[in-house]
Amino acid sequence: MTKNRDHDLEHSLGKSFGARKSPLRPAARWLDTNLGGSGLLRDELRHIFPDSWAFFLGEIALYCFIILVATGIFLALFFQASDAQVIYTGSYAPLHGTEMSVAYDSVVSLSIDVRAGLLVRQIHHWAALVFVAALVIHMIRMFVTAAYRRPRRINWLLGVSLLLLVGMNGLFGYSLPDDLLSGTGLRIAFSITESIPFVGPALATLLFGGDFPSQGLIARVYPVHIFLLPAVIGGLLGAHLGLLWLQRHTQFPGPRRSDRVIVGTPMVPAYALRTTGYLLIVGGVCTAFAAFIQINPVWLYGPYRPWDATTAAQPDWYMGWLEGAVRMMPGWDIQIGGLLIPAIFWPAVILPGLIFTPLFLVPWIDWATTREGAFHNVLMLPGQHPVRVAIAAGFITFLTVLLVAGGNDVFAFVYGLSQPHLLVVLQYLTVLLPPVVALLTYVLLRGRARRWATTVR
Amino acid sequence: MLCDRRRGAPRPAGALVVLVVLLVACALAAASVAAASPAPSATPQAASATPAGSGSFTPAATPKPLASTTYAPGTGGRVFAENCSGCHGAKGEGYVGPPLAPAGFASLVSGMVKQGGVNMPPFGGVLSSQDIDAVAEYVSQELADPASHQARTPQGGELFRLYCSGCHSSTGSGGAMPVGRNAPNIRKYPPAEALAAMILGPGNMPALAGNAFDVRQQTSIALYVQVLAPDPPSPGGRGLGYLGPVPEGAVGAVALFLLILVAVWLAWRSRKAVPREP
Amino acid sequence: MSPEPQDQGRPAHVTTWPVGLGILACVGGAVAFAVSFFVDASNAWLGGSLALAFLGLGLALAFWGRDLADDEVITGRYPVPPDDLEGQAKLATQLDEHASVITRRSFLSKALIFGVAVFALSQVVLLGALGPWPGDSLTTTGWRKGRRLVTEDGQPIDSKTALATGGFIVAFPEGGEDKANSQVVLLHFVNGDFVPQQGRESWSPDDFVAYSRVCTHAGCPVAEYLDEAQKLVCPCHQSEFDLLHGAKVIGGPASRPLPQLPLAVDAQGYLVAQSDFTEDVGPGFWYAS
Repeated sequence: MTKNRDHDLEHSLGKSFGARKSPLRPAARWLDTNLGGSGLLRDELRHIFPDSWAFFLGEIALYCFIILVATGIFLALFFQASDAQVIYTGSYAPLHGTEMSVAYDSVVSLSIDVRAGLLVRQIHHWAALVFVAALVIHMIRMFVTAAYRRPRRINWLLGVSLLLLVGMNGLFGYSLPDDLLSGTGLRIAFSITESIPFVGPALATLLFGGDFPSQGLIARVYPVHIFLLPAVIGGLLGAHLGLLWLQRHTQFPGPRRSDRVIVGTPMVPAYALRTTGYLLIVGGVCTAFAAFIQINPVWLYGPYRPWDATTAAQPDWYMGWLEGAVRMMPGWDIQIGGLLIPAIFWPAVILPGLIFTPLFLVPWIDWATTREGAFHNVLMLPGQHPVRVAIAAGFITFLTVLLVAGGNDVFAFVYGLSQPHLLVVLQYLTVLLPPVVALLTYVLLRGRARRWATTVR
Repeated sequence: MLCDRRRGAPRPAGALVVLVVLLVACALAAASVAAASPAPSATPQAASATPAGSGSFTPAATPKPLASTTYAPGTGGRVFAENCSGCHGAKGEGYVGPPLAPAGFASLVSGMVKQGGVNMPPFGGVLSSQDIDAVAEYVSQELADPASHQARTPQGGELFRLYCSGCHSSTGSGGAMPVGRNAPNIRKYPPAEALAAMILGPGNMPALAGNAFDVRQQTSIALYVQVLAPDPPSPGGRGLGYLGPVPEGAVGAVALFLLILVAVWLAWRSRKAVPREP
Repeated sequence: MSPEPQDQGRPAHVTTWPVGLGILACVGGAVAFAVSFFVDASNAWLGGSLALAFLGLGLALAFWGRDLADDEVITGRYPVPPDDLEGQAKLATQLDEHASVITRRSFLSKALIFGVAVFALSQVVLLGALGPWPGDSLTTTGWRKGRRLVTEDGQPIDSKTALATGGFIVAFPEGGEDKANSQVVLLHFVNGDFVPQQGRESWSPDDFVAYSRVCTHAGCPVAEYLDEAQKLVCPCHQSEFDLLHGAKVIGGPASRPLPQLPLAVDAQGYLVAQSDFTEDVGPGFWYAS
């Protein structure tokens, strides 16, 4: 297995270990004797990672996942996924004697009575928010640098699937405490499922376990959140990282770098040190936020009762675009004889399909438009392809307007605006702003790209 | 030499764009938080028997009565006759000011007297604290409806989430209304103001006292507002205006921004480095 | 082009003090965390010390790795060469070659695929075990003829005294059947400005009106009552309903008005329902009426 050997490799190896015997030698020998396959591991010790800040974005997501699993294990030891009603007798006095589900009771107890319980809960929630944000930025980076080109098309599919699954898992996760805010979200989820033509009502009662609010809903969501989706995510993530390992990471153009020659830092020791450090830094930032900034104070929201309501009712940020679409869609029901298609079906079911389907198909849309199907290991610089960046900018603008619309009552309240007027403005912006931004991006980058092209020649 | 920009070598322009976008998001987040955070109350809720608004999250189910202070018997009645009966009636039955039937807890009364309400002047600088305590005891024991003494904070919380939080949010932060004045942040006012509002029904707010709530229920709601004001119990840290996931998401962007900064720093030197020739 | 020695960046000399400081912070933070835990310190202390420990160790490793990084830059080969399309095609041909012993038997292989497909599809029926079919759960509520309106704590509502000066009450059917979908908002139009919808003149005795409180948009309770504007607004997506004119939609994304519950007054003067709602409550679905 010498295909990765190179002069540089030998030289660097000799230089790293130096003349002095490394204290790792006995450990390495133990591995050799007990594990074998040392040839394969030897090569992978110096596995090369090209360098750029942009390549750390996926790591933010990966390390958030690790933090979520670790904190999630702690939380799972305390959470009780039951809808059975119980009277609260814990130490948070304003809830004394209030009837609530066992699930809500367990989360309040975890937050108030268990040492470090609130800290772990908050790390878990902050890490979830950062996780999806990192995934989105990571995906944008992939898109504008055309990292999805062959032979990485399948990895792109895995990545988009991961984004979808992680978003869903987050939704299920924050619904587990059965508090007023997340319970309201589940009611809306039921209504959305119900709105699907023909299969909607049946799908809703089958999946939720009955008409809303159903007995055992939290108990049903729980294994999906802690087992099913994390297992699928873990599996897809393993494949995603495995492909990355086998194919090696892409690199930006630069000195000595080409589609054949990879230039970067080796796994041991430089990259391993930095990436482990980064894992701890991601953990540290999430912990720092959890230490000083409160998130999801469920004891203030109260237990979910279907006749309670609160204003400033939003899902977590990564579902905000859906919330905004649902708020902005006018009530255009379609009634054909006895068949009703409620208006909410379009923004809540069709729109996500319209957003994710092209996302999945990006590598093939790219091939269809550029007719360029060669294998690439070198990335494109965003500025080299203004159309792609313009499309990304327009798409992001569209989703951002939806996101802002999802919180329009909060923004109206905080900034002293009229909420209905703000909504109308956002409705117009949804349609008008994305093409304007895309056009502007294209125009700004086009000149740059032209200058680049002439310099290269 | 190091400043030579190699042809095609990536510059941190991409990083700059992302950082600027996130910086704008963080600035918006900070502005939202600053705008939404309630102004600190002019006078602290000193008369509340709960541990003074330090964010303690184990307030008592009902506030304990005020410790007896050194005032002569009859002080409360005298102070009331001189200062309060002009607006509230000789027996607190209401006149220009609302009736005092639900004012069954001294801590509710003293807070209101000190700070003043929307339509009520503050007496904190006019009366001594002993006089205020005396009149608070007098009103809560002599004038308030005895049913109000049965009020309990948790029941107030349940009623609050059924009738009030739809407009004022579950944390009392307020909410946008499509017409007229927004439902205000109720934590800015002394908790007894909630009683006045329930009785008077200002603006688009319905007069629920008497229509939907008996006296005990009105007082319970005020007791729950007392838990939320001036800041709800927040053992987890800063509340970000208690407006739910919107400011939380905006602040989460700050975390991502910081992590990207670290990534730029981590990869800075090696991103353009050239391997040594053998 | 041969790179200048300066191209290597700084020499691989690891500055000790950031790494040392980081480790110190890690140790300090870890000890502080343990102490905070045992004295039951606040979340800020627990989290702050833990964050310090994480960040300290992380930055120590990061500083060290970063200093090594630019001296450690090496080259290698990508395993998937860009132009080796024939090499890539080998997978397809080899697979075809080895599997041909099966695919050669075309009838049997097709039958096998058919069998597997039918088996897989048949497992879809397990969905039916997950929960009940809708039945009439989406089209009925807990209201029946003569059933009293009660408050959340079970008190019946006296038409002679309730809502004397306006306001609203959240009401449920006595007995609490299907409480969530049966919840209504009871109003009393003391000013006499309520306009009954056609055919519903007998539904509002003494100008008491009850509307379903389940929003016809996405099912949230329509909890915001605007007294002067006489509107109900839903806090979830800000749908607005005109209370004086049959709770029809006057703003926001809802499309169908809130169903009205036919009311009557029983012999003792309490408010009761005349029957269940005559329309489906809550959000729409394909066979809703």
